[in-house]
Amino acid sequence: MYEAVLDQIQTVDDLLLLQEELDKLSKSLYKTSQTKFEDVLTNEVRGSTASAMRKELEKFSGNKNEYLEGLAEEIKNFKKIEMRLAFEPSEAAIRRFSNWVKNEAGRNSVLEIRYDRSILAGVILVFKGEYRDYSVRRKLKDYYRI
Amino acid sequence: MMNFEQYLEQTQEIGTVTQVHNAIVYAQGLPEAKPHEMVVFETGEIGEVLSFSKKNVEILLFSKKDIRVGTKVTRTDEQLSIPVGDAVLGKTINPLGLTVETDEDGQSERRAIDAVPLPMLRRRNVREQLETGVTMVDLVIPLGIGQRELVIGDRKTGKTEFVQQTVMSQAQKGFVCVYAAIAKRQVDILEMKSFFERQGVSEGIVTVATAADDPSGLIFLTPYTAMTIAEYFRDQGRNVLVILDDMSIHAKYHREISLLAKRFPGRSSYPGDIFYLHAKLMERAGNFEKGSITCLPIAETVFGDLSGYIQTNLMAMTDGHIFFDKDLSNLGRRPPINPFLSVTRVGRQTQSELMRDMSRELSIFLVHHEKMRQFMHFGGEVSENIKRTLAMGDQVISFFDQPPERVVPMNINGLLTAGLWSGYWAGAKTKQMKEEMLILIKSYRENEAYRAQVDQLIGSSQNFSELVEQVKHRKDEFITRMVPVQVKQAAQGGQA
Repeated sequence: MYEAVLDQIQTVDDLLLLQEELDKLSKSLYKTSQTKFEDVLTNEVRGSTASAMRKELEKFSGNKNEYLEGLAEEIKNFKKIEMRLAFEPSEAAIRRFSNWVKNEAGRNSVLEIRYDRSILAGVILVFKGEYRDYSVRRKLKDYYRI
Repeated sequence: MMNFEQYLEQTQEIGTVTQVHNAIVYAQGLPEAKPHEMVVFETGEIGEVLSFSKKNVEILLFSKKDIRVGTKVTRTDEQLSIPVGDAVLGKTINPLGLTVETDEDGQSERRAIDAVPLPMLRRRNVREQLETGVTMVDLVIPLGIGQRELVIGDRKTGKTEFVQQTVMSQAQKGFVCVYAAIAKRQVDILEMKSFFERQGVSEGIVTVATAADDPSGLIFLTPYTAMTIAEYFRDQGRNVLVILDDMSIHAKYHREISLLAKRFPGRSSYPGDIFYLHAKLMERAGNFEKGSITCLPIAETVFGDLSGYIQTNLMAMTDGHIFFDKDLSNLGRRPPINPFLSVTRVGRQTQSELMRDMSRELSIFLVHHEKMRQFMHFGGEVSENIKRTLAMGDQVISFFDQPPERVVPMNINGLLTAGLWSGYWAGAKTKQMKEEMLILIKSYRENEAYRAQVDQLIGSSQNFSELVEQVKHRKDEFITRMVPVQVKQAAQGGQA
């Protein structure tokens, strides 16, 4: 139902931004002007998200409020995966990581990317309280311990 | 103990602090956290898992430092444990087992704080008497080795002085003494320590101390740490004396923690498991096939109210109580122990026939004396008999009066009681009687031959009447010759 919008969410920042946009749209439903919702969708929501929402609203059987509430509930179920990298990834890299994560952990997964130079290279992953250290720093520590 | 990174590497589980409520911290993550498991924060602080829900792990903090939201935490896969060993003797440690001076442990063995009490088959009857060195208790309210006896009374009635005397007496006999100072003032902890150092017994004493400004979680652990250390020495076959000073404060801190953790409040806002919490601690004491743990928990009352919630709880789970009466304290009695409201459930079976007989005589006399005193309130003429009883009662009460730094061995107490009963000090002034008694106590301590003589007399007497007769006929041998001439002359001069 909401795949078009949810598939655009890659990182925690995207998630927070979408939550803000949903909040504005929900409030606009209770404004007296009839075109208020459309105005907010056009001017205050990201283009790609707005067009995905319009397409879904055309197919949605209920009213706009129900649609927005349903979408907000879906967002609450998103699982966060923390990824600590030694570099700041590009957009393309983030897209690649996000696709991989969604394939492995489910479509309702979102990346939280942190930048930590001290790990040197590799990645540290934290998901649902599980911690996995695949960094070069850890490998060097193990190597020198032996 | 390892650090945060090491535990993280080991358990590969991490959590993030989401809420902080004073001593209680909620963290998300740690999927395999277990109850009572130790956790370590990235800032180095330690906590214990209290409970968990689908979303959060509830952690009790043991640190003064504030934990910020967002701090990482990891499991240790270990139950909360403390280092134990002979090196703790003579030291003051905190409930995590670290010495206050050096912040190190240096011990070889670690023991879980929350231990299961030994089963019945490993226990033995309470058979030997515990000499507290306090005359009133040793003669009238006897305690046994392995007994749990509650020391209860209003504030500033001498409870701590009493336990100090007991600790001194037992430390001199080679007992290991563990003193748990629960949320005490720093100055009181230091005073206690210096008192034991002055008496030369600090080497056999372990002090587990928390100050009133320490974190609630740490204060909560204090009696458990003390009991764990006691169990270590018990398992080595030694006799241990544990003082828990005081359990009513401990209950208050447990209440604080439970209310912060949003547990449903029960009577007086205490949590429903307060009885269980204290009972499982008391059950760890007792007399065992190897070693013993004698426990003296202290509880404070308000205006002598023995019917308080925590007080009655503690009375139910111990083998008796010694009540320190505020009214007797105001009258100047030291120690102000009320023998009529004090109970010892397993102490009498530890006494010899002679001591039991003596104890019975004293108790009957004290009841009789109390009735006479109350009768006096009506005024009117009193017979010679009553006058004698009242005079004797005043002497007995004076005999029981004892300053906090003095401990009196039981055998010499037996001799002095017999001397009193035989009428040796009949008609004598209280001051003279006290002086002579002090001299006899001193002689018992310092004169080996005299000590052997007194021990032999006590050991050979079958009952109290026989002892009194012996002392009456041999008063020169046991009393008169030990009292210096000057004291007798001064007494006679005073009487003239």
